Amino acid sequence: MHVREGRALGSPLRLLVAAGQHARAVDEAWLDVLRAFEDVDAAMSRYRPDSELTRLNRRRGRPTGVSRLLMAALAMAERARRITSGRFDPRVVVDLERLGFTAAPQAWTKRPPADEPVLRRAPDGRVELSGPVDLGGLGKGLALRRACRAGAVRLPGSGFLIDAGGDIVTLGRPDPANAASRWSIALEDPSGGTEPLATCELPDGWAVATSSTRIARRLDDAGTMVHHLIDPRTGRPGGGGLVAVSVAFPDPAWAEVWTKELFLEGPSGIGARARGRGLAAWWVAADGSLSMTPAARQLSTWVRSEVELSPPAASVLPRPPSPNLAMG
Amino acid sequence: MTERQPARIPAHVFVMLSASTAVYALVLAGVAGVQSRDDAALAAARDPVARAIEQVAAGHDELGDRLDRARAGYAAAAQAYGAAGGAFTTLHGHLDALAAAVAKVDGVSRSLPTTIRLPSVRSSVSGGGAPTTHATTRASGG
Repeated sequence: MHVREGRALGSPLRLLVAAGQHARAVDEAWLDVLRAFEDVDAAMSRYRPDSELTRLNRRRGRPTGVSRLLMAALAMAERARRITSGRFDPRVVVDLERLGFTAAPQAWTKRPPADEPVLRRAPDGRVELSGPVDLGGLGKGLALRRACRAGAVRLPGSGFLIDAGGDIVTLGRPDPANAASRWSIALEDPSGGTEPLATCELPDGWAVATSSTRIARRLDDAGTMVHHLIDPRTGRPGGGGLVAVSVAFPDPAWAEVWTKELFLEGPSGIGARARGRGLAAWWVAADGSLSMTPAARQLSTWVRSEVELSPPAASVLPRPPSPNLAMG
Repeated sequence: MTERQPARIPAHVFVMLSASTAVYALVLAGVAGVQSRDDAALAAARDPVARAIEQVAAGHDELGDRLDRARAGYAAAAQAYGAAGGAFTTLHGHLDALAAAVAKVDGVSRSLPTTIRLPSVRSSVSGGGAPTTHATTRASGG
């Protein structure tokens, strides 16, 4: 297994390539992966004052020409807003800055109506934003998508995994000699435990993303602990009662969208929403209990709560149903 | 001429013939009676011998039957012995194989060291731990 590690978009970045590839090809693929993330960072970062997105936000809705990369990202963000009925909305910058999750100042505090499109395209191809935009998580998903495509070109027929700070995309097999091998992923315990809550194996070409409140939390001006997953409908941190949501999906950018939407559904609505979309989703409630959809259970290879509740090995009693594992 | 008259048998001749015939009949009857008594006595004398002969014949027949049964039993025993002989041959073969295996085990056991060094192991383990994975999906802050 070849490993290359670095940082991108403010997170650790890691490339795993299945054995059998020449090291030089792996190095070239790694450079392509870094370039894909650098392109996205330059186009979509809210933390860079010189990024294309920051400059666009600072135009305050005036028609502006943008690159194809940023245009594609904005178009996808608008599509995600419509599909999720506004639960995913990239225009939460105002609320993030108000709660103290500051980056490079976007210098625009307009909060447009939720049903207003994110952007309009002028006849000359330029873009008009309806409000300041943050493409943080979606940008990382798009970077993974670009990096995966670049890796597939540079490492044809080879299996590899790209891990961008916990958002992961895979392609091919980890073991070239074993056609049944799959990339195995652990689901972090958001309470900070070293042992994962579960593990799963991803189908070829799938990605997995997680939205969690374990990091990016702070005390607001009122002394209340807040996290960065903002509900666009309220302008406040959402998902009350949930601490983490993971989604496995064939595309990393859409996996990001689904995790946000499901998280904001909260513990009472996430199961129905995830099942309705046919998603493989895992979620962790504030009490630490793990739930998952049937599709996620099919991908799961190990679940900690099931191990803890299983009877001793010497027992011949039938295995009781796990009260701590609710199939959503 | 004179016609010749047939000769006449005198009467006393007839008397004589009759008397002699009667005497002969009496004598013959007497002899027959005597002979009949002798035959009866002889038959009575021979009767135990006949019964003894019949008993001997019956014993002979019974002996013949016993011999037939003994012959059949012998044949069955001989057949069973033949069958058992095959099983014994197979068993013998198995015993040979077992003896060879025992000899091998004995040889291996003699080649084993008298003491071995066990590798060190962790003194505590967690049952049912998570399998090894390639990566962890986690909060990324995005």
